[in-house]
Amino acid sequence: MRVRASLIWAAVASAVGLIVLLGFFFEIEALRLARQILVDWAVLLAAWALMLGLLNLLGVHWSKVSQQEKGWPYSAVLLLFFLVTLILGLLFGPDSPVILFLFNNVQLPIEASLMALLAVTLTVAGFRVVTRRRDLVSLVFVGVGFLVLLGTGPWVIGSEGVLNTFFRDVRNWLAQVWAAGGARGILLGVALGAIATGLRVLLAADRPYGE
Amino acid sequence: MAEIRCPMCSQANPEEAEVCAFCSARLRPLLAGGPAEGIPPSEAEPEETDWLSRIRQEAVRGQAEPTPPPPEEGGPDWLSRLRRAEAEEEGPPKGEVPAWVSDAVEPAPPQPAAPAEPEVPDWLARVRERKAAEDVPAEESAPEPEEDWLSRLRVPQEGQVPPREAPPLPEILRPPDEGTPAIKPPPASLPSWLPQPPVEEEAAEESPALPSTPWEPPSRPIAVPFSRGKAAPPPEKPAPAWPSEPETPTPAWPPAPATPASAWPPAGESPSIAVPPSRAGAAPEPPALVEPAGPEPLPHTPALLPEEGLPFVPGEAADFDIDSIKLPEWLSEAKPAAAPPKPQAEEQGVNLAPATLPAWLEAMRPMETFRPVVEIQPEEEQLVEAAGPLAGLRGVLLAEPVVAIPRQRDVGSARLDVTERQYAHAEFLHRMVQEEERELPPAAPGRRRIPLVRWVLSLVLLLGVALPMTAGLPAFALPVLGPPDLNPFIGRINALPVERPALLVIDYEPGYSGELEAVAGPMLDHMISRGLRIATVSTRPSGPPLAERLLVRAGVAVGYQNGRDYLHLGFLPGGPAAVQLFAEDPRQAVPHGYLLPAELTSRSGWESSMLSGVTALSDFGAVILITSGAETARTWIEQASPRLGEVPLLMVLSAGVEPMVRPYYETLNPQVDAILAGLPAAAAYENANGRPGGAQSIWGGFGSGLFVAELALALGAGYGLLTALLARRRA
Repeated sequence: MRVRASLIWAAVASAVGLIVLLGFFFEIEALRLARQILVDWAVLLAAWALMLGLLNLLGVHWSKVSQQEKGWPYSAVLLLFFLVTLILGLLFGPDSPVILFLFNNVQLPIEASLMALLAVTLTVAGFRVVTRRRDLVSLVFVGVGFLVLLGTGPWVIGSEGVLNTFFRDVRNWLAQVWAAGGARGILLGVALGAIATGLRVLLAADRPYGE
Repeated sequence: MAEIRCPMCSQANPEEAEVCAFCSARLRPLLAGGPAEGIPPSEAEPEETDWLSRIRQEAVRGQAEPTPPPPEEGGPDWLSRLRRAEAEEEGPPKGEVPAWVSDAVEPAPPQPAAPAEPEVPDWLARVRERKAAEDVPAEESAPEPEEDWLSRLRVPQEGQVPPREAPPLPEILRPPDEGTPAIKPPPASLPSWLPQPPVEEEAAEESPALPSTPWEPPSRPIAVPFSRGKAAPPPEKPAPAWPSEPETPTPAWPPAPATPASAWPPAGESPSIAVPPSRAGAAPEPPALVEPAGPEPLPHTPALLPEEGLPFVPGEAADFDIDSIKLPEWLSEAKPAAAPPKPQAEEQGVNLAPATLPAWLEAMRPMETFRPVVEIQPEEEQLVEAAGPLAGLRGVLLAEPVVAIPRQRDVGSARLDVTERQYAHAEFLHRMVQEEERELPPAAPGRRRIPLVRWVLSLVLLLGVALPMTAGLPAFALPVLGPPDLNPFIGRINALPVERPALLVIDYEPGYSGELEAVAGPMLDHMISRGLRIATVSTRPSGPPLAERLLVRAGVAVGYQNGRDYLHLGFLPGGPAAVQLFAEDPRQAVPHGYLLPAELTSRSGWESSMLSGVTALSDFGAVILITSGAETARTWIEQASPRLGEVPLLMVLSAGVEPMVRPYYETLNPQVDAILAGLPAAAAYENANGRPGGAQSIWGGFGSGLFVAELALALGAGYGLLTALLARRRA
């Protein structure tokens, strides 16, 4: 009798999922070892996924440079420093002073600057929202942001006054009631979605590994 | 004394008076059946129509002797129905015959059995005379009432009339040929508006075989129903069934079934109109469009005409060369160019027009407008059949136009009923298509505008952040009271055991280093001040350098050394699975390390004396997670919490992640034991430590930047409200 390959794959995925899942409920040494081996394989696959991501990034930008597409000089710079860093890392190791120097003086300042630009961008966006979109949602958005900023940062005068305390309490109320309530809802949805997805994979209803 | 009342003025006149004495109207109309006194028969009633004469005669004779009913047996059903209907309705409906006619006709004495001399139209009389002169032998053999008419058809005719003068029977009227399928009696022999006789296949089968003699054209014109050609002269004996007197002894239609050749129509009868004598005498019928068969046999006209001189073999009908077939004569005569001459009767003014039909009979006829009009073209203009067994023939009904060539639908020619809405939609679609086809001109390069608002806000924000850190202005007061979560966090740090290392998880991107280094700084100072040993690990490739950077900056002042006071376990690849694996077996998950001291020759951090007693996650004194992402925090909470046991899980968070982690902290069974989030909490922590750190160093810039942002939002809101008010006022 000829068995379809998709059935084999579905059976393997369901069996692996069940072994890992049962390892959380039963303290059996064989089950624990099997689960550990399977998770170790998953870690290896994840590491290789990171490697594949790097190769894909290299291929995309190499294609841009070879076809002289729009913005190809930036891709060329990326490829250049990618190769330089890779070669230096392979030669000296990831914990060499050269790599640490590059990290502390190139990567970290650049990423911190990008995060600082985010603060400027958000400030300009808030100003444009209240000047151009004068609707209720915009006013609520800007009003909540304004109250949280007032309750978060220090004041020039009266930082320990009643008014500052009042706005600090308002900020805490917004962050710990409204925002935390929304976060709980999101987390509950994520948990239910994870359970549903896990069951679908276990029952072979979802086959992310292909047909 | 008998009187005659004038039909015109209603005055009484003597019986013998011919004309009215008052109005000179004729009192005695000319009676049918005999010429008027002193007037020749042919000229006695020149203006009277035949049907009127017949009506008069039949009215006189009908009173004298009723027409014997035809034999019932053997007759078809339709004939029986006709007879029954005839018995119920004798003659035309009342009122159709003018009253003056009825009044004028006197009751005639009983008619003798011998047929009286019928009133013969002059054209018919001339034809008969000419025929009698030409065809004497045929006349001698004419009185054969019991001879089958089909057998007479087989007799070769002598002294034949040239074939072109006599139109052959159409195919549908020909008797069944031997060897060929029996042809049913043509229903077209009767007008379509009259009841059609049922087809008797048995009669067709019993028809005798046709003689296998060469075909000869008929010796005399053949009577065809409603013949379109010239009218054939009727035989003299016996008188034609119609319009002669109805009491002709010829058997009424149809003959008995015992008749050997009871083909339809029977011998001696008109092959066209099957009208019983009684009905013929009672009701006025259309004028003579048919030729009564008479005593002479009808010529045989085979379906396929062989060439002249060739013998006709009926059994070989299927072997005929189709190209050698002559077209029927009647088709040739039907051409408009060679239209047959009008019958003499018409030429001489004999009234055969349909207008002479009575109204009740006219009402039975189909409407003229629905009668198909077939215009037969001349032979040379007719198309030649190109396909099928009749290929090459001209003048046949073409099958291809009917079958193969698609015809135009009648519906397509109808006008579309388009509503205004549909028309508008069609116009809209048309405009859309035109718009799509139109080539848009290249857009003119717009004037480059300087983003003034963006530049101004950026400049103000930069100055607001830089001035407090450089010039110390404006000065913001440090927070005295920390957030409510700070004291529990400090208490957890104070409770950490010194003999067990704490695991510090560095899971944030370098971009968040400015905030998180400032937040985590007071915590590290606190830990270092207590002499806690720290092991670091990260699930991000950039985590180990960040950990080195963080610990160096925090412990350089107190002489913290790598490998002795702290240790980097390095990068933990694999995401959530790696965290689970690390929680299960830390030594196997991270076998090596990062920036390990030189004395660890095996390149494994687990050989360090600091981690000598650590084999599981629960062997650490605490797990402290520094992260800027909610997803990372959730991963560590879900994967590591089950393996922590009594080991506390502390979190140092960015201010933006705090709301997402707080649900794990503020609960009855918290999975996070303490959190430290945001720069204010860090500044308060530094205050509590008594050592100003990075949080307080950027506190002024942080406060100034927030103030600029608040000011920008307030100005923007004010500008928006003002413009809205102005716009409303203008409106």
